[in-house]
Amino acid sequence: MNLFKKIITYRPSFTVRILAGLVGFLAMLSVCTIVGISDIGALGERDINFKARSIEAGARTYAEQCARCHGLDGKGIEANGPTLSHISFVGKSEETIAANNVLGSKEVTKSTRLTQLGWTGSLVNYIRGVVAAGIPIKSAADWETIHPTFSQAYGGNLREDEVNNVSNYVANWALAPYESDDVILPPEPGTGGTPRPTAVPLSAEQEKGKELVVSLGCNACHAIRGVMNGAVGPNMTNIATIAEGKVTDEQYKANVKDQPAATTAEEYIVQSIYHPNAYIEPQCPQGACAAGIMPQTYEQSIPAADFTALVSYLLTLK
Amino acid sequence: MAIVGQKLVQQLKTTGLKATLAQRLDDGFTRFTSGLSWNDVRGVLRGDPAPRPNTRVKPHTEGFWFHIRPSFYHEAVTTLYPTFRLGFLSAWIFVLEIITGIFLMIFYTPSPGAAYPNMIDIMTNVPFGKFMRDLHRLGAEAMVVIVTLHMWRTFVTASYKKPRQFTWFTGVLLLIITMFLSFSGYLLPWDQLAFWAVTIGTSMADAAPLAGPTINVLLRGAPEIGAGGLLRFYLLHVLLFPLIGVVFVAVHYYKVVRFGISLPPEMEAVGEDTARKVTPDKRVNFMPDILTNELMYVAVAYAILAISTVTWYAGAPLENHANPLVTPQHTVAPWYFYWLQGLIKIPHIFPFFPSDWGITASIDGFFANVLGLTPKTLWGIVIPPLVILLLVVVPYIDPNPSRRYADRKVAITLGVLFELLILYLTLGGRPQGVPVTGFGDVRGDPATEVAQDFIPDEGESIIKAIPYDQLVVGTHEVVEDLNVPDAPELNTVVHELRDEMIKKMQLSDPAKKLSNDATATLAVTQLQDNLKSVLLTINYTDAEGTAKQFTKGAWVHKDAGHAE
Amino acid sequence: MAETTPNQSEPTENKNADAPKATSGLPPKSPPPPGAGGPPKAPPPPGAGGPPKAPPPPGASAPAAGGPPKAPAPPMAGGPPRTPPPPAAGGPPKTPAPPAAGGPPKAPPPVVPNISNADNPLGQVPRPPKTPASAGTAAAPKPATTVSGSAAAAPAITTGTESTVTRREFLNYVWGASMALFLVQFGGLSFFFALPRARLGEFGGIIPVGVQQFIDAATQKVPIANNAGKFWIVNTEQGINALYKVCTHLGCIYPWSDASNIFACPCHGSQFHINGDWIAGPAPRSLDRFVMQVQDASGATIAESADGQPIVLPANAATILVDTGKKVTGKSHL
Repeated sequence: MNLFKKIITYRPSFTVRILAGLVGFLAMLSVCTIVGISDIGALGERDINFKARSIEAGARTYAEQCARCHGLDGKGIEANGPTLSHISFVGKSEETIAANNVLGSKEVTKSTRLTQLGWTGSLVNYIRGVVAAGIPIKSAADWETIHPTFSQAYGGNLREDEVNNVSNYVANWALAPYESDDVILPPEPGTGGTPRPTAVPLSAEQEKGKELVVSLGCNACHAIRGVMNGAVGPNMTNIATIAEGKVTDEQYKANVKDQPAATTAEEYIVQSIYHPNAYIEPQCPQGACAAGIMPQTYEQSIPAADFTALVSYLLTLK
Repeated sequence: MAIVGQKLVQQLKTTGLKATLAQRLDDGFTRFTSGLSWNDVRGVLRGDPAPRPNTRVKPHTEGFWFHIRPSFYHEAVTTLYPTFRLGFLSAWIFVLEIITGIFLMIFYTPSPGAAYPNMIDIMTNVPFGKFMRDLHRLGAEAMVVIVTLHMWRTFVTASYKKPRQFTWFTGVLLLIITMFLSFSGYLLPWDQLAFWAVTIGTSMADAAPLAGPTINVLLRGAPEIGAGGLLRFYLLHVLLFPLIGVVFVAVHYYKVVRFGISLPPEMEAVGEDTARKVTPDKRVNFMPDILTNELMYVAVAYAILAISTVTWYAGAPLENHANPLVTPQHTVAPWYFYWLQGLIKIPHIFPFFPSDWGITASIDGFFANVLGLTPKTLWGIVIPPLVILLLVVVPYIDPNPSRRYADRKVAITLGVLFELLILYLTLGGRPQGVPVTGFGDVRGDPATEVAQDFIPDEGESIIKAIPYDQLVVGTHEVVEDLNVPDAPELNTVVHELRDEMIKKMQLSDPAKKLSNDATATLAVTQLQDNLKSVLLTINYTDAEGTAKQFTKGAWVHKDAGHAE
Repeated sequence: MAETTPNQSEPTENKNADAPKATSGLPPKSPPPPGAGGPPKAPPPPGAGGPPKAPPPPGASAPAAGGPPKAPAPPMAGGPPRTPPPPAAGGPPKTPAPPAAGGPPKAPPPVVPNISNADNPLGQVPRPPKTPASAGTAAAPKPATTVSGSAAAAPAITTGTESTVTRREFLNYVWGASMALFLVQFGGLSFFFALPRARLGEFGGIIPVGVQQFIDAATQKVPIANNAGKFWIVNTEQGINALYKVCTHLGCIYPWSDASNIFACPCHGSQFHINGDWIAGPAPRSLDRFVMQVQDASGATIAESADGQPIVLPANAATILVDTGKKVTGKSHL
């Protein structure tokens, strides 16, 4: 107790105070020096640590979100998703998270898939884009679904950091990818995907008709996707198909006046231009179609050759 | 100008260049020190007695920085005892926090997308970044401890008595401000620890009657904590609370100087306050003695803090990114709020009648049904302000005129009891509760608990700390005699795991007991070239006899640095 | 310093420091005994409680305190700013020093003042006795005049060897030096803390560029933009280079003009060749360029450009690292 009292009532002499203060400042000097020196190497190490932890976190997200289509081992699942861990997709790298290697990945083999797709950016950026924003078409017709969007920015449920983590995880397969082909490989681009309608080139006469449809002023009221944008009369993007349908349409046959009902698509089109009031299409962009809006003088004003070209063009609009 | 020039020329002619220069420099120096010429300063440094006229009081009368400092202390308060310099230390730790905080502000943006990457950036791409952050964190925790000790000391030496009641009041306010500063800063790293601790804290505000939900939404900026909440907490942390803190520190300190630091109780007559009546023989002058004392204390305190930061302090934690959808197991408030968590865990208070009488009236029933105060509200919202109110009124309800320890047995005993109660509640606030009595133990399903101990949702993990190479791929039975070659750490951890399971088997509470037939395996798989996954599977039987299985996984990367 | 016990010597000195002040304002008194000779009192007996000390006799302390303890201007009460007229100036109040001073070795040998002021055996820096005039001004409540008054009255800096540096003073200087050193170090620490560092791929750091872009630049004979790094990739007959996209005149971003096959800045019309050389316009120099490092497929460095001159692209080049933190200013044409 006495010792305790002595300690707490000790009054340091001037010299002791100065020395203690001096020691304090010297200690702070030393600590700052030591931290400064050790930080030179420690910063890089910690950087690697955090990047490694990002991959660990990505592993969890992958297991929860991606494994059901791409497999826990990344080999892909039949009809669900292609391989991610195959050398054709991730290529091969010697390091994926090295802080010392400037590129961050010492590429030994490039990804052939990305070259096929025409992607010139980095692997991680490609993966990140697909995870975040999905792929709107299927690369193989038999995949169950398109690749969904996962980022919250696009309506998914992963935060940005989760998207980054899982991308780092997938790219990490590049260290030791599967090289044998017992994986689900995606088809070559353009070979197995959703069939698209191929555009048939127009003949010269049809080209002329395409020009005429604008120069004659049809664009004032009608729209054809990719060609003109009128919003008064009915849309003509698929007029050829519609005309086909009208031939057997009861409603048309019942309501056509003053003119005989068309029996072919061509007749319907000709009738619509020469005798617009014969049949009024019920639905127009701005409400019910009205009689008497479309000019009724085309029979006289359009030269015959031009009219033939016009009709031949309109018949391509299936 | 001409006159000044003339005087200068005159002086140069009479005394020469060197002397003129010396005089002018000294003149400037004297203005800088608010009245001490160079010779005066030298005198101070040499420890000479004060000259007459005593210029050493000039910085106190003329200068800004010293004007609020007293020009002398009573010698009885210049030793460690009775103040232990805790008030002084509190102020300087506040200054340290402001400085380190401003440094951190250079690299931090309070937005949910940027906050966490900024934290990583500070630790991996900023020289001294981790150091500053650790200093700031350790300083914050030290500040809570120091201000509490300061309050405790003030209570024990009865320095709150007349005329210092208001000083005590401002001190309690400063304690609250310190807590709020610490709490608001807690959210800023935007990791799981931060996010959920603050969610819990603000939810308690939500429980306040009437204004609670409004306060909750005001704090959070939205029903849930998000971008708005982070920004608001940031503003509270760097602007509002520091400003209020500075204001109240000024008021508090002014009062301290106005009344003088109270003398040790044994030195004064009962009921007297003679702190300002200091005879010349008892005076210790500010310059040089108190000043050197203070500089010494600051140097030593900062040095201890700096050394601690780089030696035993494990470093400010950074858990996984905040996930609003997943609450980690055993989320807790910061340790200085454990007592609040403990309060909320207080179970049904004594029913009025023994339970087998069949009458269910109880105290908490009364509060809930008659006063509309559910236990959460009662214990979380109503009681804490009462505690603070109790602290505030201490000087006013203390009728004892004496400050002597011997005369204050009741007060000191009550204080000690209060402190012990807080300590008990603090221990109870932890997930494992108070040892022995088990109060506050909220651990649940035994398999979950065992898994949580070894593969916690967040934070340092025993299993992840096994060196990467010793995580031998394969399925390992969790048995006492597991001996995987070349994997001593793995073996040790597996043995510990088995011991933990056995301990749980020996509990009596059926809700917490692990069935005796429980077994476990640790399955290690090589997922990628430098990444392994570890799956802990526990097979057990629940209380009804159904066979159950619990699994928990962890992923370990070779370069993640968990083993350090 | 052979202090007897730490606890005892300090109070002695402090009391000495107090003693003259205590008596200022009063007619010179015999030295107050507490200050002199030996430990004035034991350190405040913490436990010894005992009889409370009676408040000091009013006569001795009250006036000396420069006012009642509850003086309205509290902090100032420590010492009277008012200095008394001359009698106190050169007079006896300094006497209490000797007995105590003899005890604690104020080690430095007694100085020989060259100005007559015999009463400073402690080696206090001597100063001439104040003239009544300056003392009068010193007594004025507003001390501004006091400052200049006392400064003007005596040469402030003593040159020569009147007072040698005592050990205590020296230690204080050393302490001050350590504080200054720490502040300097802290300044350096703050500087390095706050200095922006660019990571790989960020502007200000190293931007890796695949060699294909340089090859394309040569075949198409146009510069290729790298916006992350804010430079143009050029590949001329002289070799490859990375030209900073910022015009050397006033900082606009200059585009490539296909029509005239030059860089033309839209702001004030500066023109540059594809290799960065200045052609015309207000820009004072050719385009700035970045230091490049050429690596082969394995990551080994096979060529470097340190001076901003174009380098020939080696055949096995795989990646070119453009260091946007290292800029080489273009050659001035002025």
